[in-house]
Parts: sequence; C-alpha cells; structure tokens
Amino acid sequence: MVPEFVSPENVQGLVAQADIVVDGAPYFEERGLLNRECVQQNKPMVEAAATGMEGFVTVVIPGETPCIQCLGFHSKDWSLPFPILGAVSGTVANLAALEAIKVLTGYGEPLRGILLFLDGASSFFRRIKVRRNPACPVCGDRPSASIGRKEVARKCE
Amino acid sequence: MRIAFSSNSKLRDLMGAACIRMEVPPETRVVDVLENVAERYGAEARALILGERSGVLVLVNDEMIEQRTIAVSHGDEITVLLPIAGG
Repeated sequence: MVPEFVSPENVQGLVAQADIVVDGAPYFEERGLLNRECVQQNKPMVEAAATGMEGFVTVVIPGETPCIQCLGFHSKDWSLPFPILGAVSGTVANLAALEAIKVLTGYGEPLRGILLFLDGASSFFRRIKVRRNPACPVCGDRPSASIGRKEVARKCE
Repeated sequence: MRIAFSSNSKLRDLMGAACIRMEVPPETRVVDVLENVAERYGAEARALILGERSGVLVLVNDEMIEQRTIAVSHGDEITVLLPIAGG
C-alpha cells in the first residue's frame, strides 16, 4: 500500500521499489503516471478501477499488451468524491489481487489484452478485447516520441 | 438492420437501460450510430460520447476498434464505455 498520491516527483521511486504495480488510484493523472513509469521500467501493472456499480480490471505487460494510454480512456471532468459501493470496489480489488498473483507466479492466464468489465447493476461481466496503439506516446513504436511525466499529468488536467 | 447499443455510467442512466435496440439503414458506420445516440439523448449524452473532455472506449461486439468509420452489421452490439477511475 502506498499512502500518498502519485505525482511526477515520486512515481519513479515508487515503481522502482515494486515487482508489480496494482493501480487503484483515484485520479486519471495518477493512473497515467503509473502506466508510463511501468512501461519505462518494464514492470507489469494491474489496472483496476471502480465507481458506482461498475468497475474493470486489466493487466499491462510492457512490450506485450496495450498500455492504459493505448485505450485513450480518460476524463477531464473526473473529481472526488464519486459514488462507490463497497461491494463493487471489494470485488474489483479481489479480481486485481488475483491478476497480480497470476502474473507473479506465472500460473494461469492473466488478463493480457483483455479488459474485464463488471456491470454490478446487471450482474454481468464482459471480456473486452483491447489493442495496442502503434502510435501510443507511451508504449508505441516510436519511443523518441515518448511523453514525459509532467506531460502525462497535464494531459488529464 | 437491427443492432444493439450499450453503455455504462452516466450514459446508461440517460438511456434508462444498459442496452437499447436500434434499427439502422444498410452501410451505417459506427460513427453514425454514435451520432444517432447523441441526437436521441441530448446535449449531455453528446458531450459524453463525442465531447473532447473525455476519451471513451468504443467497442464492436466487445472488441476495441481503431476506426469509428467501419461499417456495422446486422446483429452487432456497439458499446461506448465511459472512462472510470477510482477504487
């Protein structure tokens, strides 16, 4: 557990001390920073989010799967507080832990290239196939075009 | 032809259902479906789907698409997933 917000200043050190990152950060800016840093340091990341009655989990393996930036999933209107049901965040957190264990142990099939979406209101899971974006500024085919930490944070402002 | 459109979060609330059925003409593209839904559910829906303040994930049959100009087929489900963070 990291008891602080992720920032351009602390993200490099936080990711460096981990074998895997499980991202459940409240802000898109933090998620963007962790995603970029994991790609840079070649660390796997479990991305988990939940709000209201819904949530999702996916696994980012740098160089293999899409990263979070590839999905283009962001909002400039996101703010705290947001409604969340404990049963939903608990379910998503458990799924994220399961993915982390699979990645660390090499057992089973982690959600590589799959975004598992929970619709708690309809009691429905969907497995969404996601793709790498070759032009992604974080993990794309032109690393020279890679954006910096502060730019990642600004993109979501 | 008949297709389905589904969404989540605020757009689901605006639609009053997680999934709706739609009748669309042949050669309809994904972007046309998005425009149709934006038109049907008003300015807030338009901002959520097509606005510049958020990046949504557009799916056809639970698969992320690269181009919104691809044609839809009878029986397809088009999904707009609004972004969520938090945990």
